[in-house]
Amino acid sequence: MCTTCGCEHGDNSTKYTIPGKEEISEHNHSHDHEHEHNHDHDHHHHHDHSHSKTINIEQDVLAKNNLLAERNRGYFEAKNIKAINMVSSPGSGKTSLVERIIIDNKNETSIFVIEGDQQTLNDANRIDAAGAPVIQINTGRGCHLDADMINNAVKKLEVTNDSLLIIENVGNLVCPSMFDLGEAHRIVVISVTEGEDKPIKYPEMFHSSDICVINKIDLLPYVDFDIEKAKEYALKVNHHLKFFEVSAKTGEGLKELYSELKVESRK
Amino acid sequence: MHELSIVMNILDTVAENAEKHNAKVVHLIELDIGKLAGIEFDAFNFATENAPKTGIFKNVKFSVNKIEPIAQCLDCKKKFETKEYTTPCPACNSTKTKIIKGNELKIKSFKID
Repeated sequence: MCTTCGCEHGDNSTKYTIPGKEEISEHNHSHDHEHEHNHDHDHHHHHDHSHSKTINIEQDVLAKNNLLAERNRGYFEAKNIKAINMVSSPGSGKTSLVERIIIDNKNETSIFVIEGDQQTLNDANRIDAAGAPVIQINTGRGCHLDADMINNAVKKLEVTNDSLLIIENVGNLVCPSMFDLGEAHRIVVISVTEGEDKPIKYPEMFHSSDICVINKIDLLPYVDFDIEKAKEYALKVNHHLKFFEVSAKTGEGLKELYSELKVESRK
Repeated sequence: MHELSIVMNILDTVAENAEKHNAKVVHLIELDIGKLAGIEFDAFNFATENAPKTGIFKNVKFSVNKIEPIAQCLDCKKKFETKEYTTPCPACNSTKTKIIKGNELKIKSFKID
């Protein structure tokens, strides 16, 4: 049992796989023990009979992940890698959107992809076919990617300088919101086949993102989705959100997204 | 169910700190969790009960201080209590608000022998 993530060795451990290569590792959390021997002798001598004492630490629970995320962020900045973290519920069309971004931009920009799913290599195989280097992280029972997994995956994928790194998180509108990966942008994707009240049903994710992509707008004539209402809800949760209405299928609206992400200027 | 991995993170962090104090046993871990920290309290309790606890954590208990959220209006600067991200400012009705308290997720202290 890994004490950082609660995952078990065996079938439910984190796996990293590059399509066409054998599985490269089963469980590769770094678990570096930081032996900082700063013995601050602040013994609170309560001297009660049990000799129990209370240690005040006031430490953020996610401090370790946040620290590692900042390390990733520094690494990306130094290598001029633009990392984007795509989050959504399952079925919003994230993978189709990533495929489209690759096909539209691969001649001008080096694009690398990290795929997160509980099981299967299906998404990585689709990205591989679209023509970008990809690594699949299978989280087993895990419901989100964390900064340590990204750190491992980036090394195995050998992401080059001046590239665009797309991280497709596990399809889940709840858990991934709490885990900073070191990304430059967090993009929450919703599709017009979902309810327009998703932003107020799952506010954490919309609150922690900076870009909201509304996908599948080619289906608007067939559904009751009210785009303006969805935006209004999302802005109530996070007034900084920028919206892009797109169709990964027809390509509509994608130019504006590419320009926001400055995809074309990365070579 | 990220609550389980949060609990494992907590045990990991406390274990590191407890080692520095030569703790033989950890009795109690006290946490400050904001009601907007993204934690479902029922799931969290389930996770604290069912997380694998060995060694110094064999009989560990958790005490959770639930922190009521406070937002501040970015337009008129009024501070007000809220239950969610979407509450507009009660003074000027602006939706440009910021949560200033109630999204913390902190280990406050732990009790050892």
